[in-house]
Amino acid sequence: MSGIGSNLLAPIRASEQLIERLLFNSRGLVLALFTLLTVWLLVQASQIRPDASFVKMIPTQHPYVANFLDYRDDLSGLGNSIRVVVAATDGDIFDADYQQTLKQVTDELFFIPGVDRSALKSIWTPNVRWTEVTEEGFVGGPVIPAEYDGSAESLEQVRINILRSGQVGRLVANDFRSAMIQVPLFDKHPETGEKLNYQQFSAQVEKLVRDKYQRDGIRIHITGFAKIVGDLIDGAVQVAIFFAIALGVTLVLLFLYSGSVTGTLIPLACSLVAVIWQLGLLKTLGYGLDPYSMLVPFLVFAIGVSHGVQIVNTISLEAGQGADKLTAAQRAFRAIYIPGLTALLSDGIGFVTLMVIQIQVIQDLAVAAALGVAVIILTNLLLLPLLMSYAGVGRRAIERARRSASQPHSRWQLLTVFARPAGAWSAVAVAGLFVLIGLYASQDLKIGDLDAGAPELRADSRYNQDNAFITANYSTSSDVFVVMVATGKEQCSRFETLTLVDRFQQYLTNVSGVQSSLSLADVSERVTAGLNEGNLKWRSISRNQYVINASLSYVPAGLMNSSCSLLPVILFLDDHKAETLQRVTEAVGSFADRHNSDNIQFLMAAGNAGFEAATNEVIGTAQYEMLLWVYGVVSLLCLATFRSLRTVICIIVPLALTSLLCQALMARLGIGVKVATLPVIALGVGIGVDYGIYIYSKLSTYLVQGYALPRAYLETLRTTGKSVAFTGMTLAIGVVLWIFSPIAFQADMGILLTFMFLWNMLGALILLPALACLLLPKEVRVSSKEVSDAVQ
Amino acid sequence: MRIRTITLLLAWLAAPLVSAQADRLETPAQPSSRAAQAVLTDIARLPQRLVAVGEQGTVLLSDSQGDDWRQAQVPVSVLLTAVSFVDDQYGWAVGHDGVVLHSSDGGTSWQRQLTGDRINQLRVEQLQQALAELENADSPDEEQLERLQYALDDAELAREDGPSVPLLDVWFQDRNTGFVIGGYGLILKTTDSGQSWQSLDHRLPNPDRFHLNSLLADSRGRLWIAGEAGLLLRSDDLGERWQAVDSPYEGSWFAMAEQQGLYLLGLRGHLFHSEDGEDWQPVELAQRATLNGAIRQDGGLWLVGQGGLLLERTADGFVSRKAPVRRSFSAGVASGEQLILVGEGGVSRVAMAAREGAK
Amino acid sequence: MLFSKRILVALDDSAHGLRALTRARLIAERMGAELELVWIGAGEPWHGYQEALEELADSGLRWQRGETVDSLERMIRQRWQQDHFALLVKGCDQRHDQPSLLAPRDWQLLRDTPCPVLLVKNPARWAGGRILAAIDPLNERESADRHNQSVLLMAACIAQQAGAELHTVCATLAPMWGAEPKHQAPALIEQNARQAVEALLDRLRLQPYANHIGEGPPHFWIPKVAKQLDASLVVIGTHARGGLKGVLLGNTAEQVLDKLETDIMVLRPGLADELKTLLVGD
Repeated sequence: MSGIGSNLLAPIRASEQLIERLLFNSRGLVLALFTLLTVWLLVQASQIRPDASFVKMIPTQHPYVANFLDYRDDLSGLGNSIRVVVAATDGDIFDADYQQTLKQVTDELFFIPGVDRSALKSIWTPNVRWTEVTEEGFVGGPVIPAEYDGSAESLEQVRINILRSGQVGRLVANDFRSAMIQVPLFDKHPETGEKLNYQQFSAQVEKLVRDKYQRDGIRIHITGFAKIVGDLIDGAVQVAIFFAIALGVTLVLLFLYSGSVTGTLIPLACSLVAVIWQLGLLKTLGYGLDPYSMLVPFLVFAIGVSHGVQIVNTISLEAGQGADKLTAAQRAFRAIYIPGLTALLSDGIGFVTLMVIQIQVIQDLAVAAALGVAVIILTNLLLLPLLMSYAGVGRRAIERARRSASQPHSRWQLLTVFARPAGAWSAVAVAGLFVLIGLYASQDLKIGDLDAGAPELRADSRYNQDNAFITANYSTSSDVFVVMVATGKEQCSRFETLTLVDRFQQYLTNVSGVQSSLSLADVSERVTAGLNEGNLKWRSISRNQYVINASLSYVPAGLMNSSCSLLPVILFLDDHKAETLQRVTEAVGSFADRHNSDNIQFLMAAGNAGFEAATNEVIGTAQYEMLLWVYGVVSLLCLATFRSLRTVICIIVPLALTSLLCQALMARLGIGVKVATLPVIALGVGIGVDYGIYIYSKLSTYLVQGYALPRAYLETLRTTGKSVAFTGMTLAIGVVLWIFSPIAFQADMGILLTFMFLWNMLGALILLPALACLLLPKEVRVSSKEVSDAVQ
Repeated sequence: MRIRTITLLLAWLAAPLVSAQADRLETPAQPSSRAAQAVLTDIARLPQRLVAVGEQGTVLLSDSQGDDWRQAQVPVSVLLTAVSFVDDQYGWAVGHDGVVLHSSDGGTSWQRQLTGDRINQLRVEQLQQALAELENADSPDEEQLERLQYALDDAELAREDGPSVPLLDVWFQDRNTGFVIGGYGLILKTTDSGQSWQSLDHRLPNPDRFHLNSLLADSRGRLWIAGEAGLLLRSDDLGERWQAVDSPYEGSWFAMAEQQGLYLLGLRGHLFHSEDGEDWQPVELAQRATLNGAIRQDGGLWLVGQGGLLLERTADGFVSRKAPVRRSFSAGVASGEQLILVGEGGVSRVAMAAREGAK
Repeated sequence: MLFSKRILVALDDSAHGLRALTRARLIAERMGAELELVWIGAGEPWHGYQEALEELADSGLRWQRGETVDSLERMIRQRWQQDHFALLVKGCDQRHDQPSLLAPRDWQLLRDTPCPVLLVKNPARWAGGRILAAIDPLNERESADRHNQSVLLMAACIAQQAGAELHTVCATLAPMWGAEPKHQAPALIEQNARQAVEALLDRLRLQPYANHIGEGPPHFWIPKVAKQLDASLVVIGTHARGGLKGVLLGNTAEQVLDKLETDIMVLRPGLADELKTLLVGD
């Protein structure tokens, strides 16, 4: 074991000499290089743009999404769309002013770039028609008649047309006090190929629709994925403000702790430089910011500060022992090199393992986080000591270091109880208890969204209020699961196909959670009844293909493709909870298994609920895969560095406990595991492993010198432990304020990160020595022997 | 995961036993927990039970006056259009694809008595027989010969089309004798409880083969058929001979009812009343929604129709009642103090007595 | 090639220049060597040296006054073909940390001069003082070992000739957290270094007055010990890295120049065998 370990360690150790020389010999040169890079990357970073894409949020390798992408061109309007509702607050929609406003809004939306104009639907668009049977047969026309003039008779005609068009509950509210415009969007413009710019689109919709037309008597409500993303991106400003607050808090607390101006400003500056580099590199590599990776800069900052504080602390100690600025910096660099590098490498590679999850947004997050950590190696392990070698820690800090070193007693004495067997056993027992609590509570952990609307935003946010309005007043839910029925060419309207789809719809409507369904079969049935004077008794699929063809002579967009080889069945769900989605996918799956053949295939899935089902499935397996990878990588690296399995256990077990309890916390708070929250636990591991590695490294320096564990641990606490405690508390305080963020996603992150910072800190300070006490006695004895031999 | 694999394996092995896609005439109706909200077309009241029929072969039974419903076992999954029970055991339901179902246990289980293929065959045979009889007669009427020949040609073509004609109404006099009528002038009679049927198409004065929508036996024992494009036929001898009656309207009739006289219910709110069946007076209604069915109870009369239309006959004429849903009603029955309505939105219930202030 | 017994003295008008001449004269008298003086200063040649030159003339040493040279390195390189100097003596420049694109003059000298270089700062005589030999015995390479030997031999020779105490000074690497115990425990690190130093001294059969082993980096420990002992001379080796390597990695000997108040003698690698022969005999 130690042979292999030594072989792995030797290059790291050897590299330190070279790097130390390079760094401290030509400081000016290195500093100039860093400055140049920072300036260049700052310019890059300032150009970074939000880059959200619908397809990036869904697992493109999952069969459902793969199916969707195959048929994407045929499924207009079912991918990405928004819904704009114009509501009359006094009176109803049968009012000339209201109709004028509705017409204007429809026209505005028509011209906004990114909108699929041919699929735009409102009562004012020509593709929405009414039909009726008369003695002469079928008649029909556009809902707003050509001769509409705003008069009372015209409005009455419109009312009659709306009733005859079947749009009540769809494009017109059940209470007739609002009307909806369905706006399908192009993810990629079919002609120019450019991607939809969500922020721009959302801003335009706000400006051209809501701001322009909302007034006394008219309210505008807007929902849809593009709007969520737009709101989130707008909320990025808020995120930045909270980041700034956290920065300020850290600044103040760090100054109070260290008593050194340079020792406060320089670590913070280096961490900010790390953030700048991270953003700049992201931009250079062609990435943008999406709403879910908005938190990575803060994490980079937090990790940077953790390491920075350790280094500054060590420099203070060296300076307290009489070293000059340069010497103190050089010695601290050498001391911290191995644990710092190991911690950051394990963070970085741990984050890279997130790439196993087949959702691009998470893969981008992995890249952003790994880049950030890699950059911290440069800014906080290299640049920071360099700057400190110029600046020094300041007289006050040196005084403090000297004073605390000479103090005989210490407040930290209390914690050493955990380094003794009695305390260690009780700590482990309590930890075991927490494990049980954690396992029990995390059973309830749910995958996917647990609430209606957009859970990334607050329940009382404008978006969710709009969403609630629409759900209350319209019959078509916003949770849409589309099953794609694929047949041979020109086979989609065959009798056998339509009757099977009809039966499928009946089967699915039986599944609890499915509100209603819509497909070509419904169109055929209704029109067939319509061809027979609207008689309900004729509402069936005719065996006569001519009759079927006649019934399908006008099919609304999205229910059939042009070569009649695909008919989507749209299922409207009550909600998009994971259980509902699972029931639906199981039902569709079992029906498909029984009825799929060469002629007809029931394929899942499209529609936002369909994507969410796919995402939930991917997340369900990915959740554990991800943790396995992260822990695996981190454990291996720790093993390679410390060459002892027991050491790895001491470091990893507190982390695992934190992860488990974090999951339990998520379950209790009703935060589901979804794309936004999936990486948070992995990120927590990355943050927490630093503490364990630093504390263990320092502890082993004392153990190796022959100190008994309790004494060694006391010394560790007085130096490194103090920094760990400080960092944990400060970052937790900085992050806990996020609970007040208007973005629910950020608030959730605030709670979880606060918990993880604090619990990781406690785990490293209490559980690590306890485990060391119970697992390490042999090593300690051997070490003492080695040293005492040497001394003789 | 493993269980699923095993299930899939078994399903795959069993696949030859289960045809991937059987015809809806051979596929039993799917059990559905939301059947009471399915499209239902007709409802019959038995002494202790309610039976409703509708889409996908749904037959619903309620022994609690409509409080709860359970689904019967039905061997087909076509849209059923009408149901009629003669007593608490014997009943018949008809529907698309020419299906006739019979139950002898109050609707709990049903057997197929007739399908469109058989109907087509019957028609061809009966027309061939009628043609042969006429040709062998002494002085065959040329016109009638020609008509029969055309009818036979049509029947043969229809047979090639398959079972594509729906039945739209059913009426039984008793356990043995009954009629079913349907689209394109289809009419059949049975005298042996549905075991065998005769096609009577050619006996109807319906040269344009309009749809036959509704069959009524009035208090005087006459049989009436009301149909498409104002078709109105009457038989005084239980269906042997039929004559056309002058219809007061050119649009389609969807139902007939008798309550202090005969009522004809038709397209776009056309309602006519006659004491004797000869003279018909229009009844003005404020609505123009198509009327689909009628409910009689203790001398009272209600009419139901498209778009949630519910009309109550009062001393001031037909007054609109507020319906619980704005979806079309196809038929209804009175049960206890309620009206049980069936239609596009499934089962709905309305209190019989008009509430204060109801529109 | 053997060194000739000729000492090159580079003089300029700095404060240490006169001291350099004095020191060179003392060495030449002791070793019986010839002096060659060159002027490398910016101002008027030999300005302020009249008195010293007269003293030199009276001393009986063989000496000659050379030209004024613009580039000392070039001159040395040219002369080295025919004539190896035993030593270059120069007054140490005041500061070596002024920002400039090129390395300071002294540093370039240390890198380019093939013979040992003595930079003079100390006004006092070496006799009765302490000579510090700065060694790095923990470097296990053979070339490093020979380098250490040459430093020790030179320091020992000087100490003997001048009647001064020989001390050795060795800077150890700072502890690395998380490394193997021998790199992590200060006690073990020191013990390791001490053993190496003693082994080296055994091989050379030298017995210095004391060995000073402490935690580095070298530019911290060596000046600290020198100050503590009030040393007269520090003998140190240099890797003489030039060019890009010199910019990036630098040379320890150059870094201590500003921190020491003693004279500094710098030996290049590769001098070991010749020096041994020269100083100790076969």
